[in-house]
Amino acid sequence: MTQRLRRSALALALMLASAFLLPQAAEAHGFGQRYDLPVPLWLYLVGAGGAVALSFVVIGLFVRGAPGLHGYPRLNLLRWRVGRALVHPAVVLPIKAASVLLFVVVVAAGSVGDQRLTQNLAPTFVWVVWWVGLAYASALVGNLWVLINPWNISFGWVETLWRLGFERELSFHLRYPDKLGVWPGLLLFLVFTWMELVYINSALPARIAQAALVYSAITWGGMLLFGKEQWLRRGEAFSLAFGFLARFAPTEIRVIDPAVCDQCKLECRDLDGECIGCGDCFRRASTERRELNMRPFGVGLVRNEVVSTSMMAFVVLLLSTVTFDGFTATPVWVRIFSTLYTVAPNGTAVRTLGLVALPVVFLGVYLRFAALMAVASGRRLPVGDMARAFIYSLVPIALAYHLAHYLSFLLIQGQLIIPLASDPFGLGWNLLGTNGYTVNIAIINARYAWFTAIAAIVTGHIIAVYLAHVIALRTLKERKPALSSQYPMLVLMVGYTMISLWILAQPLVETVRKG
Amino acid sequence: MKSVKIWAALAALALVLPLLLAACGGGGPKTHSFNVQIQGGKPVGGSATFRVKQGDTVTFNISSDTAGNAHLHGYDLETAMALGKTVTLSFTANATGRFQFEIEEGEVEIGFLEVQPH
Repeated sequence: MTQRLRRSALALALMLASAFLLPQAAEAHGFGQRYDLPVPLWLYLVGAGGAVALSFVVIGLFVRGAPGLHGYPRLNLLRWRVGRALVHPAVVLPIKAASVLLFVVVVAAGSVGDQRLTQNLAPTFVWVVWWVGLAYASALVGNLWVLINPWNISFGWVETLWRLGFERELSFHLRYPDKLGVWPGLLLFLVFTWMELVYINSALPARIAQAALVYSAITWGGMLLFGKEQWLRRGEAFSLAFGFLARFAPTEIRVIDPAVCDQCKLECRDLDGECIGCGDCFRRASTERRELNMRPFGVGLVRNEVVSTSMMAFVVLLLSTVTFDGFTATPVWVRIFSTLYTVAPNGTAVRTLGLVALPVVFLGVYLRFAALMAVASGRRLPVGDMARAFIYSLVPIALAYHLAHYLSFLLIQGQLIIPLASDPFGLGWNLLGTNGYTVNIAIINARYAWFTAIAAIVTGHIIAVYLAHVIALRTLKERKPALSSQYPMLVLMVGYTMISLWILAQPLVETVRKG
Repeated sequence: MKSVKIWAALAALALVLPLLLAACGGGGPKTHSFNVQIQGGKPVGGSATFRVKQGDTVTFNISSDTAGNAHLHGYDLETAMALGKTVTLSFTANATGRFQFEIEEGEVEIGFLEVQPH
């Protein structure tokens, strides 16, 4: 075990070292080429104007005393046979088994398969289908990661077998230090985004497989020490990241049995006593106490709950890395890069600096605005509380940008998965008869991509403004200070949305040619 | 109930607007001919942007003083450049987008082909 860990640590160290030592042409994103045309100026202006104008419509609604969000409409899918089938073991178990099998195939393909990017399942699956695709699904469908997380499933299986065989717990269930919050998860997520956006060999199949194995060791180790559910909530970077995105989604799992949730050591229940989105409670609850609900988009972002500082930091990191990906493909970044490169001629170091600096700038700006909000509302809340309370309301803006930024990429590069499904290792197989498929680059017209992007960004902006108002009404209680607090917030949101629009209107600079 | 209506209206807007606006446009296809000159493995005049409309016929006339391959990404078209000869790359630009055009050897950028929608 120690030897394996040591070897993994060595592999990680080598990976980091090789990134600094091997100068190569680097792509702007983890993998794949982008053919996006910049959004034309007039459309950029229409989007910007629309976002500002509609913001005032939302403010107007609140000024006139319209909606607060006291609960929201829910539609329990388990009331119907089709809905119940979705959570039936006969459906869930094969999905879980398939997910674990896929994980094994991806790692195996990365390790022993053909190392050319388009001949190996690992790069396309990990960077396009899983990371970009699942982020879409999390936000637009629901938190699928809870269901298909292979680390969760495999550990759960071993845990069950262990209990049967030895009649005791596999995990040590050490007390997780509360002070640590979700910092371990945040740190791991930072390393992951570094690999995605900075690391030169991020698309190399062997590196992907190695990284997956190292991450597996960390994840299973964390589960072993602190218990599976505890680690999923605090240290498993993707449960956290997809979880934040899925708060926007129109579905939720909910348990209506207080007893089940009280047993849960994770404090799943929010301040309203609701137990929503907790996979563990859902599994333990009896069938008639479970709900699989449809709900309006975005309401999961305004639940009445305590947001810790580490969670706020995680969301800030998530927002800034989404922006960073687009920003590094703009001519402005190329100029910054070139300037820094003359000072420190190491491309990886410069990009790493950018990746780390941007969340710090984001946080600084956000805290500045939180301070303004505190002043505007008559100092009813300390700045820190203000910042933590409102952070989720920014998620729809980042999400909209993510959807806009990746739409063409997902639809074009995602097609590579069709031939790769037949030949995951690049050995010339044709398992499904799709090996001869060639990518259709005309699948999405630029005009459609532009309008979808602008519509997504304006819609995301409006939802964000709306949610921030709902949070303001709840945390500041009275309408007048709540409204006053929202003027600085509105300026911040408009600014953030403008940055998204501005990036979309920039010509993408595909390659920064310095290692 | 009011909030449900707002959500429904926003969702409808997000879905319908792109389709509605994507439907407009017009103009017949044109023919473009671009001359590219490679000297010492680099394009004369530096990296260029070639702008055309979707459906147009595009011809690149490439003359080079070195041997190598010119590659248009996305469309994935490639032509071998021969010493002192002019080779042509001709196709219909049926897919919109911004595509890199480069000399494979040393990944030297000739420029970008921008295919604008109607």
